[in-house]
Amino acid sequence: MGQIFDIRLIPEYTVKLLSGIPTTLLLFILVTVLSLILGMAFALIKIQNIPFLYQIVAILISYARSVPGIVQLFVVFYGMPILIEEFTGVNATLWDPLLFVVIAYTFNTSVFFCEAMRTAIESLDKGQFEAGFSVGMSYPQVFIRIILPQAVRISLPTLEINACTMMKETALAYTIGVTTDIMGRATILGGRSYHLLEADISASILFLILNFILVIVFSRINKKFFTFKRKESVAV
Amino acid sequence: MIELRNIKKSFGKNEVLKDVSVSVNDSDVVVILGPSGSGKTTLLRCINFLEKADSGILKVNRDVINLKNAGKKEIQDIRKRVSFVFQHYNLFANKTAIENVAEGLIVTKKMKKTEAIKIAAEHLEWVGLSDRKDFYPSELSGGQQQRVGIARAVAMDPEVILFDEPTSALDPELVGDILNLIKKVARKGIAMIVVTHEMSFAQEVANKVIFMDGGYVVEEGRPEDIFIHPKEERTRAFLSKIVPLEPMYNI
Repeated sequence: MGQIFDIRLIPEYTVKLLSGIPTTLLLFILVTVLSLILGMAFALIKIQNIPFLYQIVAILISYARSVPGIVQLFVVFYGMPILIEEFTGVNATLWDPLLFVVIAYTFNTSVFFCEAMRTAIESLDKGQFEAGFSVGMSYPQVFIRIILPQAVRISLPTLEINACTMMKETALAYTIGVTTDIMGRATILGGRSYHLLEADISASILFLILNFILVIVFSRINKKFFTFKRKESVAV
Repeated sequence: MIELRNIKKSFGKNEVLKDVSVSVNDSDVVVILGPSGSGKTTLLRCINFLEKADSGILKVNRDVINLKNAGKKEIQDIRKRVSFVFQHYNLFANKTAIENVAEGLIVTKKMKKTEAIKIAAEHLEWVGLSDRKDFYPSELSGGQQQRVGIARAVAMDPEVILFDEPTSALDPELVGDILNLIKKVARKGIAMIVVTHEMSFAQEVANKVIFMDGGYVVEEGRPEDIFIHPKEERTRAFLSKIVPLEPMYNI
């Protein structure tokens, strides 16, 4: 072991860490999709003010907002197997830790998605609902065909920020033994060679690139599906 | 034929409709006048259940519906037969002009998409907006949006169309165009109830004028009777404020 900090290791490590991207991306996509579904359900529960469920969602929201992400992850990772064993008798302690990462982050992210979508729906003009009703559409029909697309458009910037945050926070997965994502690989790589800082810088580079791509993807989605203007007029 | 009987509606302690009965014959054009807060708009909204009346009966041809405890099916059925044109147009912001007109046909009339689009195109042409069919509401002027709103209402082939102050949000120079279009709807023979402050329109097009105040129908009758020989003092006071003394200026 020569120098304490060897800048030449960074390109090498960056290439090696590429192998962590599939797991990080898989985590990101799974959590995003699940959170969109769950978040929408939460938002509907809040808007419809469904008794009992409303209170549960309210508690979840305060929990996700106030408890640090790493604590949430530990609570799910160490707590859920106990619950599962208690109720089903199945031993979950040896399940893939990735599963618990997905569960923990879905809980957390869906809460933020819920608030983003709820406020977006509530910001829409009541007349959008009424126009739908006036041609005989039912609440679910109006909601899906008219309200949802407009709400997504409004909430997209907030969804994007929360998704970006979630992606980088998945790095915490290494604390419960995930080794296949970017941060897991970086920890192993750096730990073996004692060049931890170089590994972390390489990981930084990859996260920067991933985030950059994510921003572009979101802006494409926004332009393509949620602008509600003719193409010619958008180009101007 | 549409008949409303003994409609009552309060918002909290505020009694907006105290006891209102109105009847509309086929191809009638009924204009409802009255000062703000008299309950005109609320009455209209109660007819297609955008507000739930506290009590009252709605008769649409042979169907008799209790406004207070109508079921979901009944409500949707009435809404299919009763179209609504809004003061603020309320076009679907995420749909183009033609999609706005086709939406109800596809979703509630269960038409095939191609057929619905064809009918929607015909109606857009009828309101003079063929060249704007692929525009989104945000790209249309107020007058154009209201044309689409009227096309959307007419395309549903309703038994009656309710107009809630259809020209109040428009630039003054566009009001005439929209009123002409509403006259065109009237000539189609569709019954309509119009809440408006356009007196000349009421005089020209309506065959029945209803004057409301304070949650009651104060007076109703043929336009010439209401405008020239109002029986009630309250009607006279209202009209003298609204109709200019010099008919010259009443465009």
